[in-house]
Amino acid sequence: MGYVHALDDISLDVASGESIGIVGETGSGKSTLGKAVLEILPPRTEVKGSLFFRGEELGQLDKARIRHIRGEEIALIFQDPMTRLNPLMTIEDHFIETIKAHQRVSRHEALARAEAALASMRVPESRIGNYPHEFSGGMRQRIMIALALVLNPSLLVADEPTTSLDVIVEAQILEILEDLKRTYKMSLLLITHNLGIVAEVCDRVAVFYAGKIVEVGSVDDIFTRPVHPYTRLLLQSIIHLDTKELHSIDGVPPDLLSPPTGCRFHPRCPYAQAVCQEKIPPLEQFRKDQLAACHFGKDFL
Amino acid sequence: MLPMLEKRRTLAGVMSWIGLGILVAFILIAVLAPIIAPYPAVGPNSQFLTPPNPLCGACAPPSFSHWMGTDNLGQDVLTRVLWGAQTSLEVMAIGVILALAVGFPVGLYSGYVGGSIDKTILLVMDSVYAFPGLLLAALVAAMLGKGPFNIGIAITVIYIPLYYRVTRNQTLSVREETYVEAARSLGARPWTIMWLYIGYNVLITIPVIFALSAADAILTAAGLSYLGLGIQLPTPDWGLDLSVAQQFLTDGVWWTSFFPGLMIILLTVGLSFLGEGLNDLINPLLKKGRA
Repeated sequence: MGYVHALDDISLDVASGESIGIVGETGSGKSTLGKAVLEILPPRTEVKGSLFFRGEELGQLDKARIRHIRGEEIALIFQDPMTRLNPLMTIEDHFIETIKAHQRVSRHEALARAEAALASMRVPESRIGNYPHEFSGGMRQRIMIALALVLNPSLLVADEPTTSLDVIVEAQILEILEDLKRTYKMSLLLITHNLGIVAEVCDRVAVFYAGKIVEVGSVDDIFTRPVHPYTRLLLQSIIHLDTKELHSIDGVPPDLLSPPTGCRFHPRCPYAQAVCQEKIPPLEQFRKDQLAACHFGKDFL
Repeated sequence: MLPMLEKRRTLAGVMSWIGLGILVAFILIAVLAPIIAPYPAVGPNSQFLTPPNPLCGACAPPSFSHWMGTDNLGQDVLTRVLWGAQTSLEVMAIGVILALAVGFPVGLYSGYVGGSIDKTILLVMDSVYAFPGLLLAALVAAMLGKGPFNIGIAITVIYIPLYYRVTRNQTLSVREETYVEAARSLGARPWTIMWLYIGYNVLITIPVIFALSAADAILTAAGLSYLGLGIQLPTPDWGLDLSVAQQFLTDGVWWTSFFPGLMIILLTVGLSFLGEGLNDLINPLLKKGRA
């Protein structure tokens, strides 16, 4: 065995009210990033670097302060709603526990807020006394989102929030997220491999490959004028209504126990040269606010 | 726990019901012993009714007036057996409840925090567990002295590691459930996570081991009394009465040992049925709950 560098040399900033999409293949480190932001990585995980939230460096804060930030200021929505609620607690208990963990409010007031949060997710408030197994997957995900949003966090990390849901529920949830963004000036870190969602919801997008950012920029730039070959191939693989032939990227994502030398994408890159095997390409600016990590980025402009 | 028994007419369900029935019957016997016992529990009841037996003093075989006969002191065996249920259940309840009250929180804490604290507690518990149970209980009983409460504590010492082990192992698996991670991401307090999110989900596996260890505790208590370390005469106790009856067994006086022994077997089997039945019922439910 050895150490897996799930993420390497990641630098991102999210402005207030901005939503940024994180896209990449399975295993590219997207979810690890989300958990790192909330400091809920599994034990024996080493994190180097710094993370600033409203001027506070999260790594320097004590555990009690971090606990308060979690849920109240930064919230996380997970990708698998079926198992994210305690099977022995009612929805009401989940909400009251969460609210009371952060604020001194009466049970009555907590309940009122819980009902309001559920109503905003279009979950009938009459069902607040039910147990998680009495809800469908889509309902449970809405409950999870309501739970994450009941304290009005200023940053929401959504880790593939709609992956296990059908398209109608997906559309509803995306609509709700956009509403929240507008109403509360909430920042959103949307982790997904669905490029369509990113195009719809996000302002900026960061493309991850094998634990590294290969390209970052505005949604417009990335979707219409991508620089990095990986981004280009990723966009080509999207299925449209008029898609006649499926495009895929040959090869598989690298094993992060022993990542490829140089540019991590070079074994799968159709444009790879000798230099790509040897030198790690730095993240360079190619257009205003559009950065990519490719030795030949200029050729793709 | 019980409503689900009704719906399942499986072998496990039937076993649980039989076990529960036996346990309830014994609890009723223990509670009602002062009312239903035909004679006073202590002191001769028969010496004026039957002539003394040369072999075993005032003992007499089962008859119409003494359904289970009388013992060497002329005490009615049926009465002693009924009152003995009180002693046995009392010792069992003290032993098992105390073991749960200590083993469960310690196991939960140990499994939840992990690391060197967990390893240290585990080492201590495992060394206690490795020690032969009856011997350990005998040691503690000898130190504490006699009486139902002290025997209960002596038994507790054996079962704490058992409850600790089961709770800790279950905690290790529940701790990795995704709803625990979700609770953490919402800023739940460590205490809340440990008790409400993990403890609650660990607790549902406890009834099984509760019933099984209760069965074992009855045997241990009887064993201690039999060895003369447990309950003291003249308190009615199955193990103690067995130990007294043993010396007359070779002379064909079977009834003084048969009936207390039968009670021990019945209650132990009942509790085992309940434990095994619950085990079969809860396990698939747990698996279903996780899926």
